[in-house]
Amino acid sequence: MKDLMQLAWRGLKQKRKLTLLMVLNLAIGITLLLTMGTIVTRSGHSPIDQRADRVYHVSLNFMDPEFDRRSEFRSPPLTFRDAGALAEAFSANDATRLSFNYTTSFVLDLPDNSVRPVTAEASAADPQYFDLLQVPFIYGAPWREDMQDAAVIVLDKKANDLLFGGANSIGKQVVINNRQLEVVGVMDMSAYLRRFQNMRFQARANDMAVVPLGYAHANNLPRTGFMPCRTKEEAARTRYRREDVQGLKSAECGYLHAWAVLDSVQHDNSHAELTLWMRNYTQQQASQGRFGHSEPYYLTQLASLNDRMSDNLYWEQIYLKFAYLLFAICLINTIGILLAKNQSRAKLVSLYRALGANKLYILKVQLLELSMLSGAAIALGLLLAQFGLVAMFHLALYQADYLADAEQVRRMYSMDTLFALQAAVGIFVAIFAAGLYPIIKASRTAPAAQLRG
Amino acid sequence: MLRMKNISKIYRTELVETHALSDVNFMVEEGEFIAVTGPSGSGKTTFLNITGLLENFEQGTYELDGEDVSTLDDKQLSRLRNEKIGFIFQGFNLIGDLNLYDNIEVPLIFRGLSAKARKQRIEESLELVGLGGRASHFPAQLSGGQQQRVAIARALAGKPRFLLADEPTGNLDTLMARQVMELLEEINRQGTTLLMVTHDHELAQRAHRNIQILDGQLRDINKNELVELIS
Repeated sequence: MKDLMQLAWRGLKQKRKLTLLMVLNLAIGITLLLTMGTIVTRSGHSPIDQRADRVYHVSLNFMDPEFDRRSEFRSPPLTFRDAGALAEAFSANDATRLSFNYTTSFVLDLPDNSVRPVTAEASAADPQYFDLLQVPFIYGAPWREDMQDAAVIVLDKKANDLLFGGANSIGKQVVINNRQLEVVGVMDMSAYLRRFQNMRFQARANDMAVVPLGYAHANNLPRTGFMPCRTKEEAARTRYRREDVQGLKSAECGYLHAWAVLDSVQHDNSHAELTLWMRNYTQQQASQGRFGHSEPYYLTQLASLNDRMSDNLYWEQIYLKFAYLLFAICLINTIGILLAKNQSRAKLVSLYRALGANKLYILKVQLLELSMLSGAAIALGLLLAQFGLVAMFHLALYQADYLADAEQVRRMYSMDTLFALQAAVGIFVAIFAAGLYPIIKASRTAPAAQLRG
Repeated sequence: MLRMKNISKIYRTELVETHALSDVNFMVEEGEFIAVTGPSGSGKTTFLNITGLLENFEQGTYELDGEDVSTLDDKQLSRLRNEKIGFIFQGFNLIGDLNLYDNIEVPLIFRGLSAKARKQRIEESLELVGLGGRASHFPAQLSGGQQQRVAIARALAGKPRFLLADEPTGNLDTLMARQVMELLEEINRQGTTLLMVTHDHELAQRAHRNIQILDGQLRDINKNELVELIS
């Protein structure tokens, strides 16, 4: 094997310019393919992918009949009273676990003002929210069920790093709007590239903190997410965002996102049960003049939202198709360059044959040479793809608004090791398959004709 | 050690059939030095290629060291070529990217010898051709005569029983040609059988036997008769 490697290495060194051309040619194709492939793959990926087929967004469409939803991502959140009805209906149903949240934001500070205050994108949620996300905790745990109105908070690792230098902050106090909250947990949201919880699927930022829903209502933490109101209440919408939480509770304005995690064993039954309840509820409410829309409810699977999210990456998908095309062209180029290289080395192959190498040996040497060349091209492609992802990250950051969390965006544009490995194997096989024809042709070179003169 | 009987070789195109060799009968004894001469296109190189197992033939039988080569597959033929035959070409056919050591090492790698055994043989053969100590030089740094001596060293490193030389002095000036010929004669004296194709009648006269190829047929010049099995 060592001898084969030695001969293959010598083969690479012969006609160095052609070898270099082949490596560069392949590396360019691999770079583009890996860069765009990584972005598209990461965009449609979530840490809860393995159960995304049994996680559903629950939406009751209280809006006017002429309301145009535009896309699944614009399914109206629940009004306060619809959320209450839904929670009550399934409170004793273990096969359908519900979680409610609304998007908020606030400034996080310390009581002694010892660090720079942090503007936090956050969620007001129930403790089931953490079960829905299955987010890992670095310190502490979610608050208990009976602490819904308590002044407690779960920080993301990033907020904890900024406020407490990454130390264990359990039991310490933070300040929001001049009120102190006790830290009960520190979670790590770094793997959650898109904020699906509020149906925006934004890549620019995720929760830096989560506070109990009851506390958020009681202290009127603002509602900063998508909040559609019926036409008759449209004028009050801005007021409902910032104040008048009592008015909001009886208003026809949706702000609470409900997610249902269905039991894996009883999935079909639970799905049917949930659908039935939504149908019955909207029909029953219709008698009170509500739910006049032709589509009174939506039950949308998270997996389908993830898929749609990948499909929605319009330019990225075009770039990816372009990358595939370019890689195919690079492969064809490789065949051409290999043929040219082998033609120019026909005399060498003939000499090898004359000196005692059989056809199989020649084939082995050339296949090994191709493997080394592919390995070099893939390694260079991976390296260049890293630069490509950095470039795309800066482009994305440039396009993002000022609230974007650079670290969060960077994760979207960082190499996915598993994807990179799978892609590298696929690319290797493709190069190998493409290189077979020139190599087999070279191994069949008739030696006698090449050695004259 | 070598016996050919009724060997024929025909090159075919869509329009023409060319009989390169017709009913060739030929035999070589161990330790002989045979010169093969003939005009261009007479079939000298074809004869040498068939002898060196680089080309197939249509008819006849060819035995090398008692083995009927027509029954051997590519792997066995390659092994036979590697172990028993050494080639010396008019154009030297050294690999320009490799130094002398690596050039000579190539056939030894094909044989599967260990690195230690290869090193010993390479050093011995370089010494034999008078180029010891120049193993790290590249072919381009040598004169034509020296390059041909490297090619001879490469052929000898495998300790072949049979050396095939195709116009070994064709690209050399008179002085270098004489040095190379003296080296080949010395190798022959040490027991290696030598079959040399040449245009040069003066060089051919130095061989034990002088065979001429004309229109695809072999003729023993000394006896002026078609070569039959010589025993």
